[in-house]
Amino acid sequence: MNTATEQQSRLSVWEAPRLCTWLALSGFFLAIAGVPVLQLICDWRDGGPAGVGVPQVLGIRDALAIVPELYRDSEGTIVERALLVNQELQSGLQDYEAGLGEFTWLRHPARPLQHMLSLAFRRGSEQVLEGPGGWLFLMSELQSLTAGPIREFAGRRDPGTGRAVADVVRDPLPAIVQFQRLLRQQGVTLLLVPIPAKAAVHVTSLTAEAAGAGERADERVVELLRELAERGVWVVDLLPELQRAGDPESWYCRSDTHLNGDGIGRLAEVLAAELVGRGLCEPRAGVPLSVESREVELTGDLARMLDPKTDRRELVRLDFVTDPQTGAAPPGAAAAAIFPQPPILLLGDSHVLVYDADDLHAVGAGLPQQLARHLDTAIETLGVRGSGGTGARLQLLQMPDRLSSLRVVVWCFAARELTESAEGWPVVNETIGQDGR
Amino acid sequence: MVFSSHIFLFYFLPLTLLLYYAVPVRGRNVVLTLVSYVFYGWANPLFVLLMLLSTLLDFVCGLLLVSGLPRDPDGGLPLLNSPVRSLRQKLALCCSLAGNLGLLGFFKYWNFGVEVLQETSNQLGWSWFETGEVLQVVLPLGISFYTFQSMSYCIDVYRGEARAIRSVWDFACFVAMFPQLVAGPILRFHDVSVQLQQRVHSLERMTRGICCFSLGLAKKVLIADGLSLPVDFVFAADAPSMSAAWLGAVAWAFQIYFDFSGYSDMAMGLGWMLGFDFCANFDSPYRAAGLADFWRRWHMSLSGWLRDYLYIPLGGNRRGGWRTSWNLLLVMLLGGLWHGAAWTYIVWGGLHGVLLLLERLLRGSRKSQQPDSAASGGLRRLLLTAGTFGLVCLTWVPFRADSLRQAGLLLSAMLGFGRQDGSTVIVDAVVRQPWHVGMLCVGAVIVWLAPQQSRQFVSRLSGGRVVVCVALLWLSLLQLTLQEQQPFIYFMF
Repeated sequence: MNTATEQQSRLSVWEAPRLCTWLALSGFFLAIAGVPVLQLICDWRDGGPAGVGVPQVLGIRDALAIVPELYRDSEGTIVERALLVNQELQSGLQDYEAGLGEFTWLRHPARPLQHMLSLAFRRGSEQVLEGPGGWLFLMSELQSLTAGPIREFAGRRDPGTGRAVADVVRDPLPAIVQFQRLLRQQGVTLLLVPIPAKAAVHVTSLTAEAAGAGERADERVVELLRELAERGVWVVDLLPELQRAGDPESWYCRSDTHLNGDGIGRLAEVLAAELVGRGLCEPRAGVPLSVESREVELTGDLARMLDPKTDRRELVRLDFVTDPQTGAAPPGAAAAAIFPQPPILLLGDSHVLVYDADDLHAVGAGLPQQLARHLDTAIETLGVRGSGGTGARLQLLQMPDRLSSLRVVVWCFAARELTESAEGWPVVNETIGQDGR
Repeated sequence: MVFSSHIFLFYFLPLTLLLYYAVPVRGRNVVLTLVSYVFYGWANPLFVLLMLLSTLLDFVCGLLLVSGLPRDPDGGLPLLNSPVRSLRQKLALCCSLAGNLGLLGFFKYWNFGVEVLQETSNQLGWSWFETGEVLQVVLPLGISFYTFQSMSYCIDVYRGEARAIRSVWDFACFVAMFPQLVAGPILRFHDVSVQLQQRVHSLERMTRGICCFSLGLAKKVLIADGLSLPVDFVFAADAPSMSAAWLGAVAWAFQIYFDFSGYSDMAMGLGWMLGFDFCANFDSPYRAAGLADFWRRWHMSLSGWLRDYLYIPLGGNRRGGWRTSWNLLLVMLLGGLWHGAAWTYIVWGGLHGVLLLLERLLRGSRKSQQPDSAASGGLRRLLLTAGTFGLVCLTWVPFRADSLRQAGLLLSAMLGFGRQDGSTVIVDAVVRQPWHVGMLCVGAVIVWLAPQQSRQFVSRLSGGRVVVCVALLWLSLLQLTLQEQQPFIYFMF
């Protein structure tokens, strides 16, 4: 092919200094062979990426070793067994490949590059967008704000409008309405409070253009909340409540996906007002809890997503609540263990756990404690790290004994969950709560 | 396996090169075939069986085409010189075509056919079957590429343009060769038949291959992958602004170009490393002045394949205006459908077909006019290039969109009729991030100002060029660890 070009090329290469050839060869082979050899040395020295004494690259044996065993042990026709083996082998190879990429030493020299790009161009990553002034935003949350109407994607195949794998579980409305009905059958009132997206609350932290827009960025959530309210679900739209309360510096942490101390405090106030307003609770009348404001230094989850070894720190002012009689914080998750039947359950995702769990920046300054400041009752927490929509809901439905003693379930989860939940919004089997399974 | 993955770059490639050069020359096709099966089977081991089926089918059909004919004096299989073909030869060709097109049709278009049938029956109020009752077929990687390639063998032998091959290993190597297996360039058998048996291995070719591979990797990792985020964002947005919609469409035009041409460069580079010389797949497509010109520069191996094996056999432009128009439209529609089983691809192909016809009409009427002066010719070319790029961007929208509804939404935003709401500013903010704008600018500079043909760039290697290539290689490798692995766009075709 292209004989003339070939001859010309060959000639030109002969003319090129031999140094070029050796430069290219050494640069290339140093990269493609040097990286794995050094990786092997590091793995031998460190006892493998998982500390099991085997370099990651030799882990291929594990992926392949299952094949004969799996074929022998599985049931069905030859084709069915072969398909099963193929499926397992495929996932084994994918895991193996992912492991090789994850534990490479090359990540260390790449960190300064990431840091430089971040400083110069606010590069961010696939998961995190860097706004001006050190504000970080979760990409999937931004996508949930800009994709199509929440309920429209139900039954459609636009992958851009929902992450749930199966079409039938993309629409959150039937699942929420069913949950409310199941709770009502047990005499429990449901209060639904989707936590508005950080970018919807702080649009100006993302773009200066938004200042004069005067429109809400989360109109799709508002639309869904309106539909839910029409079907009798008690919902609180938190965004206007945050905006009505004046403007502290911010309601959200800059480098974290969660509300900051002010935000959690405001959320507690709103919830307390709703619960008292409906006559479901009494305002706190007894000895007030003592509150101590302290600044806490934290590294936000978004900053860690951007760089696991980041030294980015953020100061957040938190209100630590203590009972002057016991000297302890009002118990959140442990409330049921102390009080026989706390009437209020905070259900949801990490928004109900933040500042009240060892791995979530602080203990004793979370939503349960702030809510306890306003209400004269014990508050229990059932929060999951993950899906506050489906995971937490299913967990509660599997606790029929607990359900029977509750008065109110306050369900708080990130509003992005409405579209971005990978497991979607399955309607549950209605016998699920009846026999405790 | 993806060229820009950790496992390929640091394990598969060095081991393959080591193995390939460690065995004697006559065993290299066997090594290349076996490692190609590992490469292909990595994503789904079962797909290798499918490729073997296609390979064996065409190999046997190729032998049938020449069986019974006297061998050449050198012992090779004969070239079909006579214009007459026997019934057996016609049957052998039909068998190859039916087998390959059958495989392609079933694995690529079955789900789409079922979906269309289902929608039609639903609209008519009939309920023939429910979702979940019908078989769902998984699309094997690169099936469109290797079936076309494999099929070209029998057609070339039938036409007397190439000799049939005697060694099944050589033929399997032609079909499975990993550098161009999953996304081309689509090789035509007569272009590589000689190289399969005899090719040049030299340090110079290796050097050229390394540089070309490095350029391709940089195109993919440093530019194409950097543009994927704004593209995904805009193409999923419900209310993008006009500027965001255009930026998204242009970003997609750059992303698909750098992704695909990056892959092609890497394939060409790997080919040189292994002694092959593959055809170029791109020639500065966004500098085209007209759509016909664009198609001479974009995915040249597919355009060439469709021209030689479809357009010309249909009569090309030799049978009058109407027939030419019909042939052109049909080829473009089939070209669209080749890319994927969805209405969006058919619309894309159809749009290009219609625009090409319009261009033919316009050019026909211009021939009678006076030629332009040099200055106005330059300006005209500039305007034509800009207009062509704008049209190409508009037509890329249905190609990339997840559905026709989404395509319509974005097109109306691009034309200034889009709906805007509170989320519009968020789309704007994401697309106009300094990093994304920077990537777009870099892309634009390379597309319109830098040398485009990697083949030409590496044909005259100087110290500076080698340093650039090696530096880009190392930068790409570092960048790879900072981002999630992204497969090549053309892998899904």
